[in-house]
Amino acid sequence: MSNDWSIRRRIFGSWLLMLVIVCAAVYVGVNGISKRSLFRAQDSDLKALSLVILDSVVSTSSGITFDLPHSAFEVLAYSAPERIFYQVSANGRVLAGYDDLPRELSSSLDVEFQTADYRSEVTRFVFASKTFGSTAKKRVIVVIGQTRSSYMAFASEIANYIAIIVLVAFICLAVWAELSLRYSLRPFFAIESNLLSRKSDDFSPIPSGTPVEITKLVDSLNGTFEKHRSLLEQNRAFIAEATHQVKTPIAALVTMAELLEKDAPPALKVSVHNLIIRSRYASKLASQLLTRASLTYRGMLDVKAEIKVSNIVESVQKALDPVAERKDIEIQIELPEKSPLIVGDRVAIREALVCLVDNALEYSPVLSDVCVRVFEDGDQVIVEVFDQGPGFSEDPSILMSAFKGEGRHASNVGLGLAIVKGVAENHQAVFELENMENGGALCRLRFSSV
Amino acid sequence: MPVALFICLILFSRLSWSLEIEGTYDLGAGETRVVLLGTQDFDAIEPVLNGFVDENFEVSIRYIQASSRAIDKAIYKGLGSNFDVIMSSAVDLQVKAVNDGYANSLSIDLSDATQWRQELVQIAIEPIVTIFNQKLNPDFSVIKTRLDLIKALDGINVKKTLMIYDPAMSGVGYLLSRQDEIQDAKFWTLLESFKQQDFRPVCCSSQMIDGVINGEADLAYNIVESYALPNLKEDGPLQIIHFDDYQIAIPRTAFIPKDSNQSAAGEKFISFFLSESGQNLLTPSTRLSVLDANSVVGGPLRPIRLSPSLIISLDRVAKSEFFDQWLR
Repeated sequence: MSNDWSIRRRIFGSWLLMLVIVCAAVYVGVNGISKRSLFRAQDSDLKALSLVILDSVVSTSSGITFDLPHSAFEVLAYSAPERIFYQVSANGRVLAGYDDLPRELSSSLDVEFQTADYRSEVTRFVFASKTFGSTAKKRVIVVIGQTRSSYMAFASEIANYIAIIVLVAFICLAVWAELSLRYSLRPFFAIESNLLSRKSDDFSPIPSGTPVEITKLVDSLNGTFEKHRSLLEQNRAFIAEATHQVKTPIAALVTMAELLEKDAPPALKVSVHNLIIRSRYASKLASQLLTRASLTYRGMLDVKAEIKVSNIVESVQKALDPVAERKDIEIQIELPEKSPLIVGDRVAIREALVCLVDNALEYSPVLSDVCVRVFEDGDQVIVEVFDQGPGFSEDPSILMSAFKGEGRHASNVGLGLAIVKGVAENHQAVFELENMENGGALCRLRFSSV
Repeated sequence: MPVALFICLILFSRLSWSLEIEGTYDLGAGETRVVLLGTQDFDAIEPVLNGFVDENFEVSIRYIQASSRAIDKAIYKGLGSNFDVIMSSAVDLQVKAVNDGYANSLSIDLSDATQWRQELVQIAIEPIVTIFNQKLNPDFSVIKTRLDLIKALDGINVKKTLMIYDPAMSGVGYLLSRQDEIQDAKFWTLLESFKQQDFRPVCCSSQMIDGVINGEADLAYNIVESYALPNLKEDGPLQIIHFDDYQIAIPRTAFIPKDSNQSAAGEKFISFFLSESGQNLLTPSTRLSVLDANSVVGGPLRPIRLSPSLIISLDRVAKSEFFDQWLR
């Protein structure tokens, strides 16, 4: 089903999203922070050098002198493999260094920083200024510039490391989450296997010991079980009640009609006889209806066991012999030496065979035979019931399909074939009908053997 | 093709116009033409160039020899892109060119080599020594440090003739004297004691070597060892002093100019130069492996570090300050 979803996948989806967001945030954050601190360190290095030069300025009558201290530049050179630019100017006239460095932005501050593109590379500049002389004032500005690509590379290297650490930590957490998820989903699997292994008539509650988070689910499941159990119970009671309630008045009707037939005036005799036939039919129909209902119930209960087919056939023969004798019909049975075994509901199969034999007796002419034959064919156990009657008047395949609806043929056959078909379906057996060559109907049930 | 040739001719004539070329040499017959610009004498570098074209048939080499100043001028005129590798012993000018953004980043692995910014790389080393005429000055053979030299010159009745690279005329001379000044607080004292003698700053190493050999000079301070070594003969007049306190070494460096046409082949050449087979074609005293033998920290051989602090010495303010002191 496309609507199904996995808790695990949902949790990991959100985790993955969080991982991407956190890693990106950590990378950007750490990159920013380390860049800031590295740039601050660079700024203080640049400022130190500019102040060293500014401190060496001496104003003389002929102009100003100053030092370009090699060792101070060397310190800056050692700090990073960056390009260094410098300039010393007095009142705007460049005295030393590069002529084309960027100009100072404002003149109010003593030390000022500026980032600019210089010689096609991002360069950090410090401007340090000081005014010398009392009469002829000289404003000396020292500019030191240093490129910062290695600082940026270092910052992103740090950010990479931290992001990788976060990633690894997340993966560890994800493994942990997977394990704990598996652990906490265990009660669900326990409930699942409990439900799967349950017999259909088992309505016992799910064993206790489930986590509090799913107590409601378990409670509602148990509640549903209980409802089903009581519903089935009610059904069973209703069927038993209905059997009693319906059968009794019809039986009374039949008896009264039979009594009536003896005393009836000749003009009514035919009608009364018809009444007897109709009410007998109604009685049969009612009992078949109830049989079918109770078999459906049994099928739901799934009460199957290994059973001997021969025993059932013999019991059916015994039960229906009195009916057969009334029409002088003999029920013949052909059984193999060793009774084949099938898995099924003994009561249901017996009822099915009763229906088949009963039908056969119904349509057989007086002084004929009804035969029940049991044999094994490969891995199948086959039970055939056939008679010497007129056979099916309709095409047997149409008859079979008629059971599905309430087709008009049902009135002839009763519910017998429908019951057999239901039992066959419940046992995964094949139910076949055909007309034999010499007339007579043949009903065949194919069970798979044990 | 003729058009390209024409353009080449124009470019080349423009080049020769603006660059004082000391010699142009073509090697190999490969299709890929690598143009090398260097300060080193062709005779000295030829084995390496030959070794490279022997190993790489597809490459041919044009080696253009020029002075370090001419090279520097050419770079700042924007002619750098006409070359694929620029090699020079003027490490201060090389560092400045790289600092000012005229170099390409090298993609070869330089982790073991001395390099700066993955752009400028040291390909050979030129140790600096002092030479003297041992026939005239047998006493000088005991000199081990600069202090020994000051002492030896102190209280001599007859003035010795001392030669040194004139920093005003020679870029190498200026670089060496500045390095001495940076390295040794007593440098100016040493120079004072030189000035007490017959002190002659000269332009070139040949003048110093010839002077010492023919007895015109008693001692020449700061001379490239590889120039002096061929003149070192058993029982000859020339003798070499390797100072124990420290010994400067000038790195020969190379970089690939920005917009070079054959930067890949240029990198290949630099790789070959740095490789063992390339280094083995150098004069033994100039191989980089010389540094390994002295790799003990504080050892006497002090190669000039590839550092942007070198550009300070090139500043006009720093120069005038230095010459004030030099001429005092």
